[in-house]
Amino acid sequence: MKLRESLAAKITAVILSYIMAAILVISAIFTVVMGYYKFYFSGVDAVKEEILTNMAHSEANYLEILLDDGYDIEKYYSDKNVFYEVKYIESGEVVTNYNNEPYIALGSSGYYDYKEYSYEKYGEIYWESEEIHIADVKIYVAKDMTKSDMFSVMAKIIDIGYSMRFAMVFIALGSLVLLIVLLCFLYCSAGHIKGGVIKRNYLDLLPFDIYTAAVGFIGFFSVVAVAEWTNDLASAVLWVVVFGSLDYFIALGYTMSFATRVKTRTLIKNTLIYMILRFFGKYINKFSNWIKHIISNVSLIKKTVILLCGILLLEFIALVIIFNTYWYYSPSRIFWFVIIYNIVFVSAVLYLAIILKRIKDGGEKIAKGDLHHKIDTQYMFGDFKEFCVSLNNINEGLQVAVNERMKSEHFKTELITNVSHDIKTPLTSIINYVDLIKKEECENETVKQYIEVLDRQSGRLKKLVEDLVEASKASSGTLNVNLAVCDAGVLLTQALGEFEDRLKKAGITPVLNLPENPVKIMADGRHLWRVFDNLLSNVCKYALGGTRVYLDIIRNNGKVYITFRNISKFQLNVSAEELMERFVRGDTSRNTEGSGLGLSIARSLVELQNGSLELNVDGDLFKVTVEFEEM
Amino acid sequence: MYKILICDDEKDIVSALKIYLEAEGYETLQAYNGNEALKVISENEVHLVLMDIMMPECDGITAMVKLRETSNLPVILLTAKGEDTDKILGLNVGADDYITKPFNPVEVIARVRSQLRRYMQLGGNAAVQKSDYVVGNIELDDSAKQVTVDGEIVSLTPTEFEILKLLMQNVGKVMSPKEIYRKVWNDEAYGAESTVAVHIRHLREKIEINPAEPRYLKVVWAHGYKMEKGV
Repeated sequence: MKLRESLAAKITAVILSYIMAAILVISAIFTVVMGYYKFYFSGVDAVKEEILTNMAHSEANYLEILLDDGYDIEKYYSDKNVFYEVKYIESGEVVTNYNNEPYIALGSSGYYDYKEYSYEKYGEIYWESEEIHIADVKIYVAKDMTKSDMFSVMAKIIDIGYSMRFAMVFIALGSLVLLIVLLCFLYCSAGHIKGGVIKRNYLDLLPFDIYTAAVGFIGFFSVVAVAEWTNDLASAVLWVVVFGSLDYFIALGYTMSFATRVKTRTLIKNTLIYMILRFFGKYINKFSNWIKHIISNVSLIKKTVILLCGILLLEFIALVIIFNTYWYYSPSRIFWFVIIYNIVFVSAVLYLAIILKRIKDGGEKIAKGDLHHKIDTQYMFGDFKEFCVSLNNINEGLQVAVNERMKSEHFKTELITNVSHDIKTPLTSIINYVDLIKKEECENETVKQYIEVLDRQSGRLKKLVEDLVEASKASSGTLNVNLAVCDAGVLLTQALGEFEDRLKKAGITPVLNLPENPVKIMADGRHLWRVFDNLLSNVCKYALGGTRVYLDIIRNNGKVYITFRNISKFQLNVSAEELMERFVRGDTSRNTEGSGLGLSIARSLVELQNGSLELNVDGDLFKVTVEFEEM
Repeated sequence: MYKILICDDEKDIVSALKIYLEAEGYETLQAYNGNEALKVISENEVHLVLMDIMMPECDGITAMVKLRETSNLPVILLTAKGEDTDKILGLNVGADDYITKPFNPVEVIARVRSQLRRYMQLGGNAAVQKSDYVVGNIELDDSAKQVTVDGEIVSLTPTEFEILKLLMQNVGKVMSPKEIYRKVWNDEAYGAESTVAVHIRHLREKIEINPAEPRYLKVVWAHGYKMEKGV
């Protein structure tokens, strides 16, 4: 099984990626903080001094508060690694526990000013007076830290941090690389399930815009929640970890879903906006089609009139505005000018529209094959007239071409007919004398065999000549066709009756399936019989002995399908299209009787009766479908 | 002994027909165009003419028209033109039958015999009509259950006989296979119409010279079958 299809691998990757992300965040924070405190540019003592000095400054400020509140500072600092020194400036009094011990950092609060209030009694009234005193507050951080407090912990952290300052960078980079690898794996494998297919899960079925909004809301909520619920360092860490992890998993799921959507090409389709747009799009499409429909159905002249009315209305509005604005310039002359101008303009446009309509109608008629149509060039001038004259000339040219073509078709048919007449006369002699030879007494077996060949081949020649004439007539359309309502079922029954003996001889069983009611079609019975005759002859000649031929008449949607299905005796190496060609036969060796014209004649005859004939070859299954409109 | 005039510009065809007809015991005369044919007819006692249409000098149709001015002897046209319009034209100017080239010798002889029989019966010794139904050269005697075509008895099965009788009773009327089945079998067809078609095919083979181009028992495709008086 492929790794990307394994659910266990994915879960493992998710958990690992979470751990990696956590490590990355922590190590990155440490790296940044250490960078800020110049861990990478100076010695450990300098770093330590800077940080501890900062802490000493804070401690000095804190000491001021303690003094204000009257704390017992000696006791407070007894278990700390710092010494305090408060020097009152005016009195020169110094309160301290510092005895010149070595220190690594010194912090001060600047000048500490504090007020001392004194009350004097004047008669019944207390007079309040205040004195401002200044003191210098200092905090020394001891070099030898013997006690355990914030400073010793910080010193230890700095020592450890300093020793690990490069390792931390590598941890950050390493975890980043691992995280990227894991995420790549997850995005690549997203959506893949057993069996090498990509399937969307429930999350992927959610519309993407809704999903995005939900994820965004959760992210926003997490930020607000962390800000709201945090009141000290511990709770801050707790909430950051809780929401950070939650958001990590949500973001991972979101991005994996994104990957699946891209892979299944549903990123845009599966959005609410897309669905809404598509829903309305249908109606918009319908609406625009409706408008198009209306426009295309309105005649050219009406369209022009509507357009003109629109233009005139706009012009009128413009004029009204102009007159109202510039009424003091004698407007009557402009007014008349505009009216005359418009009359000329409108009549010119209408004239053009009428000429265009004439050209359009004429063009349509010619395109539909009305070769005798001439466009009236009266009242036309210039380019329009020239255009219409060339259009009329094209028409004449076309007519000439069509006539030529018809003539050549007729000539071809006539040629074939005449040639075949000329062939028939000598052929009659050949057939008759071969017959006479057959009747002569002859002992020689070889001669008898040769005569058999002559007999057979002259018969074939006869059939070929007859078919040739028929094919040329059918395809050139010189045949008379008298369409009348016919019962296709009766005709098929009759045809089958005619062929019953021949089918029996060939060992083929016909299976006839007719609808119960008469099937009425428009056809010429004699020609349709020739079609069935040809098709059934083919069945007798080319169907495999011992099989069945299925003859069905099926009604479907106002159409009648007459089908002939049989199993071919020969392997059909040629396609259905080729079989329909003249002189092509199912057996490429051409050993059997037949001219190869049967199907071509059948198709031409069916088409003369406004039907269609189609061949289907499926392996050895040979199927002919004749299609007619049902009456 | 009947004399038959064979007229064709193709000498080989004339000789071949001569051989066939003489083998059947007919006397033959030959002509190679329309004018010659007319000359031969005027000089000899001729009982039947076999004539080609397309001939030099005077074609078959012209000769036919001239011949019909004076005589009503049977004429069978031979031609390479197999089109319906040509057939109709030939028959309209007075031909009695029509054979298309290339023809089958057996068919020629059968048609010759049929025409001669009819001509001889009409001319003079018209036999007493005993049969119940007569259509062209087909006679059907219902009481004897016997059918003759061109005077020769044809053996039909009882079903074929009944179908023929039904069609001869309704000359000129198109009868659908269903109708024929109902009347002959006294039963509803229920898809057995193809039986009728098969019987009709056999019947045509027995009573027609060329079953593919019947003179009497015509197939009206997609509608049914009908009996025609013939030509």
